Amino acid sequence: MSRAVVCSAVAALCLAAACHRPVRPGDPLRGLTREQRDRFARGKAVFERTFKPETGLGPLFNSTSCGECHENPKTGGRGDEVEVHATAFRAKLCDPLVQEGGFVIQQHTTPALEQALGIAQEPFPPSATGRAMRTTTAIFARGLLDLVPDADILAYADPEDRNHDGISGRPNRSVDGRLGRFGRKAFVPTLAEFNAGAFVAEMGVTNPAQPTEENIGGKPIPPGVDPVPDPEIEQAALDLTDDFVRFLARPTLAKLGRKGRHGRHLFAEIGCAACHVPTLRTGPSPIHALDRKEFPAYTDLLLHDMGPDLADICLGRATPPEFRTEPLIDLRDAKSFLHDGRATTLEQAIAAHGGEGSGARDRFGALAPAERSALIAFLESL
Amino acid sequence: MKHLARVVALAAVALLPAAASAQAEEPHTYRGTVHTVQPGALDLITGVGYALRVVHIRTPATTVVARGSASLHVSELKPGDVVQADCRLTDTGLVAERIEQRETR
Repeated sequence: MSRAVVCSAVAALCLAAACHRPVRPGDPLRGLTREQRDRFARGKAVFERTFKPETGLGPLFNSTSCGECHENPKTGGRGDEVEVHATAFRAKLCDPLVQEGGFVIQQHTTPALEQALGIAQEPFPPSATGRAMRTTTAIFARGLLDLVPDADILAYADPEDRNHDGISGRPNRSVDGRLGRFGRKAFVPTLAEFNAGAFVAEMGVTNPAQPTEENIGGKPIPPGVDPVPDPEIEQAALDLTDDFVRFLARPTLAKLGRKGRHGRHLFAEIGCAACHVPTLRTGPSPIHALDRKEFPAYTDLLLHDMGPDLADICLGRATPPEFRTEPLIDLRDAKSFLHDGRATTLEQAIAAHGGEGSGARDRFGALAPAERSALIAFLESL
Repeated sequence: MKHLARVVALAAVALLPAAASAQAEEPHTYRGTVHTVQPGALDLITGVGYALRVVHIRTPATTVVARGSASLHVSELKPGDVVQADCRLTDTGLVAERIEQRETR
């Protein structure tokens, strides 16, 4: 065999191995162009940029960078930070308390604001009727979720439970009436808006999409406290960050053995898949890597009533007990579960499902120990 | 060349007031959820993602309010309604020219 043939064979094997290498947390989507990969890398740098008061941080903030919270196991992953939200639910209407500073209650202030007002965090709004704790989620595959057509999501909705399976599911809406899909209450319609809003709500960094700071518990920002002119980052930086998040891939599912395959079957059989819809498909996109792709999502992006024990705040049309079905993505790297991190095991998380999730919860509880173990093994592969 | 530069400069000077005027008359359109309705004004919740803001809009008697083809009185709007407000910016703030209540399923 000639040296050339051997080299070709080795090269082909290397190429095949690269193609089959699993996508790890924090990796970009497969099939991006060189230019898109470059934007992913540059966007990651903005995502990891640490802001200071002199570069736009605050005066209220939860964190100094996106990457400070979304960090485990890689940039874009989960974080151990837990933030506080508050709204008021009265007469079946949700008030996001914008005139008291908004529903995200920032836990830190810049030194200048602390000196001016003597506060180390945003005051909790006095008219709130509900308080919520929110863990930091992994944001992998959000670019794929962004492109699932509205009609596909609405097709899963059954607000009157006409099929009598005990599961309704209804869409949330943004303040301007568009279908929501991002956030624990599915309040935000697009990934771009979620990212732009997060710069302001989480770091106090204004940008062209939201060029104004929020008020401080209903009062204006004291003069001189926030000297950086708005917007505090330019559109180009916002676009790069958006591309980084958009291009974050869904990590490859772990290979299932016989036990895991049985667990996957049980997941569907006991009704988990009625809300945690295993596969979604994106609509058309000019980005080849996002264009009409099927992907493991394990969500229907709809709101479901999860019962009184999990209830916390309203948001948009979501009532306190309603939550969006959490996409089951990178579960194997999670250390805590549910919107507030109250569950430290998957069994605890399942046991906490109430309301529309109670049927599946009870069927899980009725499984033999080996079957429960199989289902958990499947979940740990996600 | 000198002549061309003069023509360009003159054109720019001639067009400047028109451009400035167009900017002043540029419509300000807001889509959001009605927060409160008061006599002669309403507060609208708008915003981006989790960064919400309240916009205060005056509603004089000349403001047209509609739901589809039906016309409404501004007092028929209520908190929670999703609307589009076409406004103009005046020295005293935003004034609504037309408010359309939007249906969502």
